[in-house]
Amino acid sequence: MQVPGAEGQGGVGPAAAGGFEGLVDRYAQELYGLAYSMLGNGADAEDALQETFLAAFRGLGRFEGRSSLRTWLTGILVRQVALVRRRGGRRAAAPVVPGDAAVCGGEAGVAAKHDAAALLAALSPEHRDVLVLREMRGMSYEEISEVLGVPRGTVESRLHRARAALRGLVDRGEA
Amino acid sequence: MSGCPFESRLSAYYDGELGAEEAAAVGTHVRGCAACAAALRGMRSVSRALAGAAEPALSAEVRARLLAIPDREQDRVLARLGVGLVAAAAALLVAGSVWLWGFLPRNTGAGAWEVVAVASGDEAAEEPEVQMVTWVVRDLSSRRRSR
Repeated sequence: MQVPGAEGQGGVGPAAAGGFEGLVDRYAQELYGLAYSMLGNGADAEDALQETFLAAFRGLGRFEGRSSLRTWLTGILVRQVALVRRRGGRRAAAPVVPGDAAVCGGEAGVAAKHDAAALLAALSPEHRDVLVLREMRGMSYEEISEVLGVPRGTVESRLHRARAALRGLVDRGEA
Repeated sequence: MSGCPFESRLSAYYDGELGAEEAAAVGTHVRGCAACAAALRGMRSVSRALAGAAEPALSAEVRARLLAIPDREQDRVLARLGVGLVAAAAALLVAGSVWLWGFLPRNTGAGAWEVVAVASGDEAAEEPEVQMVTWVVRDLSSRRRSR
């Protein structure tokens, strides 16, 4: 099915070329990973993703192309993540202690992944979101500002605090 | 937090978000400030740690649910349209009934002479005007008798 309103939006790429399926194929995995990093569990991430694409389907006709489709979708996802958090979520992020051998196992790659999840879980939601968008999605401060709906200076200060908060945990994990 | 005045700009410096002039100034400062240099190293460590963050693959089931959204939305729209049409039809029916009601013969309180006429059984026997006069006379007569 063609995405409503997509035909008149020259720059929306897959939405115009492949309809809704193109939109899902291009962005669903990336958005799911983002939701997972922000929420800390798969069930809540799936809920947020589902609501994101539902909202995108309903609202794509109003997409004006002022930002990229990716930034627009990420903004919707961030709002859905906030709603999931407000509802209490199904499960809190796993409270993993950095460097915990029982959790991290023997394989270095697995340990690193668990450590990353634990680090993110240690942050407040607003610090976690800004760090995930920057570190794991490589978004510019301007894009993060747009996605989160906060001034650029707030993005910078949150990032600074988030990194400072994690620095001690990382140092302890690497020791 | 070191309290160094440049510290608040270190994240933007690290992320390449400063203008050329300010970036050069912060860079010069960092080379001579142990606290800021340590803070930058800490930022790199955090980046390395987060680079290994787990992002599970989207399952085929979830993808299928996402792809079903347009059909579900279409069903929802059709269902709402159906409800709207039924409501409109009901409203039309009510309005039509009210309108038709106006054409129905109303009980205006038939005169006693009409009741007498119906009860008499000899209506068709005379000319209409004569018949009517006959009914009225009978009615008046019956009223006089009842007094």
